[in-house]
Amino acid sequence: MVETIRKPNGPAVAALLSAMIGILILGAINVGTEASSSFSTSMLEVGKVWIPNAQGIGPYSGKETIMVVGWLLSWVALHLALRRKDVNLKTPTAMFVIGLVLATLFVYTPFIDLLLGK
Amino acid sequence: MSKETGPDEDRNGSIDPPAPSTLVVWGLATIFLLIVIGLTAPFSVFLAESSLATISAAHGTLATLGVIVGTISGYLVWRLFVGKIKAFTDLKVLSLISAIIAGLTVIIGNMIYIAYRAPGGPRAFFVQNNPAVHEIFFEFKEFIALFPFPIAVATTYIIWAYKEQLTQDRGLRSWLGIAIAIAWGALMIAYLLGAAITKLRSV
Repeated sequence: MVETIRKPNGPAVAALLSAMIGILILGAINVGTEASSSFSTSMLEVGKVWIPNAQGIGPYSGKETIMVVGWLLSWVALHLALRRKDVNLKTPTAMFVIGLVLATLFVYTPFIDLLLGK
Repeated sequence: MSKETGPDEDRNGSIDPPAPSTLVVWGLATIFLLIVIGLTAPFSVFLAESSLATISAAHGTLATLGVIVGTISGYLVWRLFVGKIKAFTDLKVLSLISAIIAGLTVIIGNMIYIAYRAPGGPRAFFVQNNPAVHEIFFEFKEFIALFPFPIAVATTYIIWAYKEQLTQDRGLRSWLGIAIAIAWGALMIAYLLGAAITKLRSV
């Protein structure tokens, strides 16, 4: 009989939560750019740092950049924090779903208008 | 003593085809489809006349492939979710392909987005002629299209890292099922709205 060593679920929690965090950051930044034109300009400057033809893509380039950076950094941080832990999955699963619902609302223009009182 | 069964083996002892076989079948199916396309439509007509025709065709083809692969992966994750998966190797391969396709589609989509936002491009056309459609649907499409990539990478990592343990861990495989269902939903929204843009005013 082959015995397999059970891996703690912490790394899996880190992977899924960090994906949600990256996407939620994207949504939050999108609301920020809708609220402030100077913030929107700063997002374009972020995109220009590394994306070719970022000027043509506009502030979207910076939003993508921050999403990817936020996703990967939070993955590293959460992985280091949870890599040897077993976590009750109910709370992180709920956080994952709620985070993605919020992120979806944050990129939906009618909701942003409602949020900003436009 | 009960017989140990791995994720590649079902209760009757049938074993999944190995990953190389799956890839060979995929390769042959792709070559077959390319031959059908080549024989039934001139390539120039297939790509249209726009300067971005090749990139647009690649974007649309990748998105279509993503929908097909994502749908099959979704079904396999459903089988995993209910604890009856027989083709775990296929799920591993398809999840990896899904993640790669999601990433490539976003990268190529960025190239098309420049033309989409350019003066006189589709965005300007929609803003001028139907701003409500632009704000409610097409602005939404730009962002929802980014959702599947990080989720696909995370779920692929989990499927490859945890493999046989997933069949024993109900909580984790449930979360995996939820994550892939959300990614698939986002992919379908982006795909359908992308098709709508192409039909209404292509780049």
